[in-house]
Amino acid sequence: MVELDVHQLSWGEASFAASLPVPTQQQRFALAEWGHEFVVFDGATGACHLLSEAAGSVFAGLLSSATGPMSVRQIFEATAGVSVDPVLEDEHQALITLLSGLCEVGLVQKVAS
Amino acid sequence: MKLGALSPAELTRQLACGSLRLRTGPFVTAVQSRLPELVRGLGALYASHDLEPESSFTDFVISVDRPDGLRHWIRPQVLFRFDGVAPFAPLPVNQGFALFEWGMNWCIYGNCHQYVTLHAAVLERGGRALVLPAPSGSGKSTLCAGLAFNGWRLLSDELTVIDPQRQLILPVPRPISLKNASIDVIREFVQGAILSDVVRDTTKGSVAHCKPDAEAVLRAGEPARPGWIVVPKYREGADAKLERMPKARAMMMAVDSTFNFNIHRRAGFELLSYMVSRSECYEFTYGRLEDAVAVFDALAGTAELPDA
Repeated sequence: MVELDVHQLSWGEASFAASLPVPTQQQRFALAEWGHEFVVFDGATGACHLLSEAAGSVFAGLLSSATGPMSVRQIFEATAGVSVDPVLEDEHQALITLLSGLCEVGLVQKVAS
Repeated sequence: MKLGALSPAELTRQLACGSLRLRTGPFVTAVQSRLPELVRGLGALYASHDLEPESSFTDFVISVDRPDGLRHWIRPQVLFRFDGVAPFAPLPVNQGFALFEWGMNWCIYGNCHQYVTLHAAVLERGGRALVLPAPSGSGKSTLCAGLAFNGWRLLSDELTVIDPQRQLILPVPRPISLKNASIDVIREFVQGAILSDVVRDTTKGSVAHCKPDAEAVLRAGEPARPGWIVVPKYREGADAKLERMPKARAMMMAVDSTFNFNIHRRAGFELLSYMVSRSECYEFTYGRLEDAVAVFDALAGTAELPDA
């Protein structure tokens, strides 16, 4: 599991991965954000995923350890303790793809199947 | 030296021996051809373009000529070659100039991966680029031609070339490709427009090319900052309607329009997200070109853009 100090992360290039310690995983994901609109780049597939506002909101509510409202960007920066309602898999495939990827790189502990 | 300064005989000679070096924006192309159609097309539509010395660095070495054998003489065809290799099937010889144009596009989007290249028309006003990504048949080139002769500077009617280092859009001003009904629309809309011969029965229907404004060619060294991304759609008789487009959707459209996203990947993603962030994004429906020009005039005058 990777521990990240969100305050030490630079988001100047819309990238959460730059602070990851494993070079091969550093470049996997990138996030573009405009208010409540998000597009995620998955470097493993080269694909971009458009997250609906609803998906973004759901995503932001997933973190059980959150002590208050969190942005999607903050979620990217967070670490463990995430579980996903299986229902969401059908509704938000892009989100699940993203969460699966985050799980692989150690940013998310568990993605329900 | 401008291509227009060459006499027809000298242009014919230089093309025949392959010594012509044509500059189009950041690119220099060595062109070889014995095709009268190409001599005519280049002479008419590239007269304002610069020629470079034969010793200058050349990005592309191309030829547009009749193939050897039977097809040289019977129902003659024309073949485009890039570095001696023919990437496309031959076409009827009367499509020689159109094939040159299509081949030049291919040279850029298929080879110049130092840039991120979108399939989108692009114009400039006030230093800012108006990018028009849209599929064929959406009225993109018609709109582009209409704007290019009404206050906007043509950067390209087909390819938006972005320099990742400088995060600027580079002009590649070349003739505007017009198809079918848009040929007469532009002939009527643009006083004094210089068009190539209309070539019928191509895979795209009837095709003609329109000479770019001389000032656009003269200013080919002036790049533009991102300004607007507008997805146009022509609908016969429709009133002009400009609607804001969510930036995330504009981003997805930009990604889908990028020829070499699979090469630039993450760096391309970050560049495109920067471009989208710096642009106002709209969808635009129109049915009359004069209405469209008025809408874009207003858009340029009321831009709510961050400073670069």
